[in-house]
Amino acid sequence: MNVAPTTVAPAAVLRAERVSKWFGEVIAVNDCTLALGPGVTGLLGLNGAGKTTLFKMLSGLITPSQGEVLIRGHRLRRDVGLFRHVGFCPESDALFDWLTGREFLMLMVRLMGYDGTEVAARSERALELVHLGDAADRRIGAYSKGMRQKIKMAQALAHDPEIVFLDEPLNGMDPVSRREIVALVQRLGDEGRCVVVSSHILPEIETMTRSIVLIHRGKLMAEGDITEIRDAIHDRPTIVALTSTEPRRLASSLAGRDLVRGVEIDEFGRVVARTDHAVNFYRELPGWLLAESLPVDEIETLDDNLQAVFDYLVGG
Amino acid sequence: MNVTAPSAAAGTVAAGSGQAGNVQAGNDRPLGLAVSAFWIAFFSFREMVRRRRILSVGLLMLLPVVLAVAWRALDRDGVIPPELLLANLSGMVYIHFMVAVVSLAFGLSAIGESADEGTIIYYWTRPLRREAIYLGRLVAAQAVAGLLVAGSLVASFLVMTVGNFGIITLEFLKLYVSACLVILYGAIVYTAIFAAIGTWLKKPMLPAILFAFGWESIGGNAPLRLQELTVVFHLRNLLHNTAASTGDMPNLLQELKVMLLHEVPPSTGHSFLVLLAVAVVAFALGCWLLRRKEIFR
Repeated sequence: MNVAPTTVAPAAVLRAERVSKWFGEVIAVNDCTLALGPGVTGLLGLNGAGKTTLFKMLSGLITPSQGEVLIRGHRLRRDVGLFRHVGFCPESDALFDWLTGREFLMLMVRLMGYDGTEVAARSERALELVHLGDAADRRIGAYSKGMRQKIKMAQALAHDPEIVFLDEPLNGMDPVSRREIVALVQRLGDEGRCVVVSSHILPEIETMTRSIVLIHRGKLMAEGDITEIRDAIHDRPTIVALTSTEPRRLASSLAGRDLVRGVEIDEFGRVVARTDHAVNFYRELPGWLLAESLPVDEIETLDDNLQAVFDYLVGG
Repeated sequence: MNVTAPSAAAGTVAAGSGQAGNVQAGNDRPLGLAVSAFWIAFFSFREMVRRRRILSVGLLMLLPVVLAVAWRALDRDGVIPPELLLANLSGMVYIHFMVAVVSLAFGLSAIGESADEGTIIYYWTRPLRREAIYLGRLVAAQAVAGLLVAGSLVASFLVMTVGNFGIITLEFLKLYVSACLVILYGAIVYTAIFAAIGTWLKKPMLPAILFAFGWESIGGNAPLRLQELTVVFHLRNLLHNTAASTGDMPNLLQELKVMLLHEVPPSTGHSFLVLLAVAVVAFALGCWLLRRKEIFR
């Protein structure tokens, strides 16, 4: 079943045009077209789905076998000067362990083309951004996994890039650090940067963004807002639970609506409605409730979270 | 089920608020080659001297020093003149073995190891010409290899001369300096070759060993002009031309071959240029390979 496009990226900063990548006879990514604008986008996929290959093509680490990846119309692999606008936080734990955090950042900023005073200032700001100021003069080799993750984030952000690639950014972080980094990623998106986050942990992505790109078996399966994607999955009606003091009257009212496929009352006394068009359902619902003076205390969508969308799309 | 990808609107759109500025078409040039290569070389040198292998290779580089110590201890009657010892150390020990070993140890890893470990990604995602990355790493590897060789040469010289200052004649010094230059030149050329091999192959060790101790040994001693296709031949040629009066064994064999086969060895300038060309071609090849390299870590 094909579902109509969900959203159109408002401003395509990063585009992949019909990109494919094969290794020998194995097709890792097959004919993907993608446009990403400002904001945070989660890149999702099962292991072996082609997510990592697509991520590496988008970030200029590998070349597509076919098609092009363009940043504002330019090929990153060829026009390497464009890396001034790109920040990349790799998944790999490899770092220059013999350097201190500050030395490492200063090298990274210097290689972005800044001069001495700017190098020091930007390195300092980046250290503060990830709360590593106290450990700045310790050797990276002595850092914990979470601190290593933070210094990788810092080098990706020290030059204020417009496009940020984050590969499994929360790996090895404690809960407090996770919260800090999630807030940082959200802020980057709010500032209008194009942030691409790759992760196999769905709740992790969901804390950062509602906008996803889902790749499955090398093909781009879905792109856009989770709710809109969920709404476009017509063969799996959205399940909405409504808590009311008059559940029978509410159920009876909903049962007669065109947008409602089925209604039942669950073991908690909630009215559970199934709809094929959640967006329209939510738009119409207040009117229905007001017209019949139906009391509703709480409304909850049971399956428009990322896990549900992911499971529906990849057949989980 | 498929949710098809949307076709995004193209256009010039306001970008992020980053201070680095928005991505503009065409006005983003990579950093200058020399400056970026310098910084990469500076930090790569610091990295390479911290590798554990520097200890094992450093110990191996003591071999000529041990030979010099043995000479001092055993040859009290002066049976082996110092010039002959120096010529044999240079020709047989350094050029045939030590230079290849030290260059292999640091040349192969210059790019390949960094790519395998994943640290190359931090250079890769900067606005740097791939040539600058390659040049910086190569120069660092050549500097480390050169320093190890130089240290070994200095140590050998000290062992031979300290308390034995009578051997320091003009001819000895001339021979020593020219041997040092040829050996260091050899380290630079070999490191350039091994760096290209390390960039090209995922598992370069065996092919590199076969090249260094297979082809170079067999080809370097092959008759007629086949030997001119080896690095070791040209290094030996540079060395023999500078050490013509020492009467060492390789030189005698060379003279014999000239007489028997009517081979006229190439001039010093010719060998120098051939080796330079080899290093330049290896560098160009390495850069080309790096530009096409795919980073999977």
